[in-house]
Amino acid sequence: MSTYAFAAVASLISLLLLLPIALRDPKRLRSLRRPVPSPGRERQLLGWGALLPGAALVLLGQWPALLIWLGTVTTLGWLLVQLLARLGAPSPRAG
Amino acid sequence: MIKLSQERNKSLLAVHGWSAVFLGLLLYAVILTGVASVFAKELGDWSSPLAQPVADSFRPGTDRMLREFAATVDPQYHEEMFVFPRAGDRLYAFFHKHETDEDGKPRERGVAAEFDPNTQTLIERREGTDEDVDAGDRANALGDFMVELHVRLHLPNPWGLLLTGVLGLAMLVAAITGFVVHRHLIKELFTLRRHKEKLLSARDTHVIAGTWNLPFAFILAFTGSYFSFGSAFGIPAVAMVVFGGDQEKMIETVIGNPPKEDKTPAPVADFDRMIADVRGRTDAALNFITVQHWGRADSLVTMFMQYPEGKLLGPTYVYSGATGEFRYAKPSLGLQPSTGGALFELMGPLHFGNFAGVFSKAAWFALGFAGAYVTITGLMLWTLRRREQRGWRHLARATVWVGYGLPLALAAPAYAFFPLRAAGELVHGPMMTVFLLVAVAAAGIAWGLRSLTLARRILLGLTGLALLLLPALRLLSGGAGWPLAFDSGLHTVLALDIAFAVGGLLCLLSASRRHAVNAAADEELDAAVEA
Amino acid sequence: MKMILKYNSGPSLPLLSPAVSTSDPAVRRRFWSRFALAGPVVFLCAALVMCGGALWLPKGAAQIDNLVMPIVLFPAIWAGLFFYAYLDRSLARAWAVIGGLSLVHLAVIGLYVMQTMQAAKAAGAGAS
Repeated sequence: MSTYAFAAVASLISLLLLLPIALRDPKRLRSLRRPVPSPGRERQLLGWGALLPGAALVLLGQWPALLIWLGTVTTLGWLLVQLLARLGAPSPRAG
Repeated sequence: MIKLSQERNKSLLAVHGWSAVFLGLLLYAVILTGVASVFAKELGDWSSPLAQPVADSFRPGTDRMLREFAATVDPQYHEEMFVFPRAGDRLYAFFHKHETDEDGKPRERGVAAEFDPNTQTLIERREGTDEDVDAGDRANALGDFMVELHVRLHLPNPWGLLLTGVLGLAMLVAAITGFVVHRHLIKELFTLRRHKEKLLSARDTHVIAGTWNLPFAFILAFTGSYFSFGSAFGIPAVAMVVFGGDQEKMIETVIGNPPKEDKTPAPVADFDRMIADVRGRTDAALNFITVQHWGRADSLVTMFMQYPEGKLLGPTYVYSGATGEFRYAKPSLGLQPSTGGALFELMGPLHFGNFAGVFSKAAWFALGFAGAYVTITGLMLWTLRRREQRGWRHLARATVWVGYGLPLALAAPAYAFFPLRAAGELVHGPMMTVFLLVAVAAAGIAWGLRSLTLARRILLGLTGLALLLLPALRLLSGGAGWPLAFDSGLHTVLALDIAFAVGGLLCLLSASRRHAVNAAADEELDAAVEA
Repeated sequence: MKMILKYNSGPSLPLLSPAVSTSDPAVRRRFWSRFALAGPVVFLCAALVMCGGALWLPKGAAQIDNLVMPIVLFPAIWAGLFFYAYLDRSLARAWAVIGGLSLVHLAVIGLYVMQTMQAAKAAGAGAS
């Protein structure tokens, strides 16, 4: 697999694991006045799981892919948060 | 995350905030120009393409081209030579000797050439010190402007480098303190509260952007301050102690080729053969060639390659410049792999993001933008918190001035470059003048208009306009039209035209809409500042 | 570095909040002392550690580590010294540690320079 392929696959896995963490974030649900599920170990597991693709890249010695993975996940993760903040939101100045 | 006493937390937060107050806007300038510099080569390819794209900068015939040129160069400049592709993939060669200037600082003097590798003809020849030669450069001027601003804020050596070095350390401190004081790092990573109190919203904006950007901020701050301090300060200092001030000797020792002087004149080996040989040894692309002692028996030719696929480090290949025989492969520093050598080599890919073509560059571009965003939102948070105190309102205005004025000022030099280049004039001075004039005008807007929101929108709108019109500017000053660029395969020209147009439109859209990321916080801050 | 938590009668870490009375000369002195230490003094110390380090670090596989590592790691050297100087609750001890490190490396450098000069003189005398 080429560097790009490694990076793409790893990034996709990480982002898919981050998505439920972001959607079900308690602070976010609270601020949107939605019911907050009781805390479980899922968030922690998902969180560590999101790091696993990076660990795999380290073990495989795919250093360029590791760096691209790190960059992609931190940028897209942040963009995801920005997007969610705009989407599930009531009109500004409410609440 | 890390449990600290409240006292320590406040103390570290103080360092985080106050270093930003004094250095944040300058740091933002370095980050933003860094973002532009990621694509400096592409800027050159876009602004100064050759008639055809170049498939191979070092194709057979390069040997004849270099030899013919070397024959026209004074032998005193045969001490050292390097050759590599630059804007538009013109092959750039610089025959030079090392000397010291009036202040004892090392510099180079010689003769430079730009070749068209397709036709293998000489395009331009310039003579003088390295500074003279750079001053006459036009093809690379746009990219170099960004890089010069980034590396030394266009200040003379060593002050510019020392300043950017200090800014790098400040960024390192900000990243470390930001990480350490953040008590619930992971818990807070995912939620931006945009609809509660403005201060909370501004805090979330900064903290979340900063947290996601942490790994990158740490890497860039570390490598960046190394690059600045290394050349301005580290090498001279260590050379002073260990080599009695002889920086050249230190550099030779560290590069590691065994010193073996033999000044007997000797024929110059065939470059086409050496290039073919190195291409047989590795899949990595040839990037850069240096030649020591052209025309002497002890001449050494070193081939530097681009990153091998899937790697961040790769060897260089050393040949005898007199016989053309392959001597050995070695890392950049030292004759064998070493920890120091590996660390040194890693600094490049980690900082420039050029280790995997356009995708890694795009990632570094995005991360850099995020870093700039973190810096500005931090200052906005600081000034919002202190909006009741009159003194801080100037910092709020300065944040708008630099935050929104700098992008505009960075787009402006192109409007000097293209017309002047078309008229055959030198470009560097006017580019800087235009940059400064626009910067001053932006200050006028930021302080002259009572409404900060309006100032912000005007600056953003002007930036959008400046970016949107860049393709037209390029075209009007003699650049290739889209059909011609497409037919000739000048993809970078098309890609950047589109990128500038899209970027410009996004800025204009953003400026025209009332809705901004942090509208509520902005308005509260604006109201306080304008009062 | 184990930092002993002492209870002090006044703030021993630089705090820049209205709670701290900046008109109190003792507090101001401590502030500027800490500022000087964590600022220019730490920078100088880091520079001395970098240059001195080139003299005592092992040369490594390619015989260049002692020259390259201190320069490449300068940001880490500086950051380590900076945070130590800023965070050690005992300002006096911080000055002592930073000062001590600086003096030790200054001595190492001084000795080396003197040795080199003597060797050069001996070589010069031998040649004549």
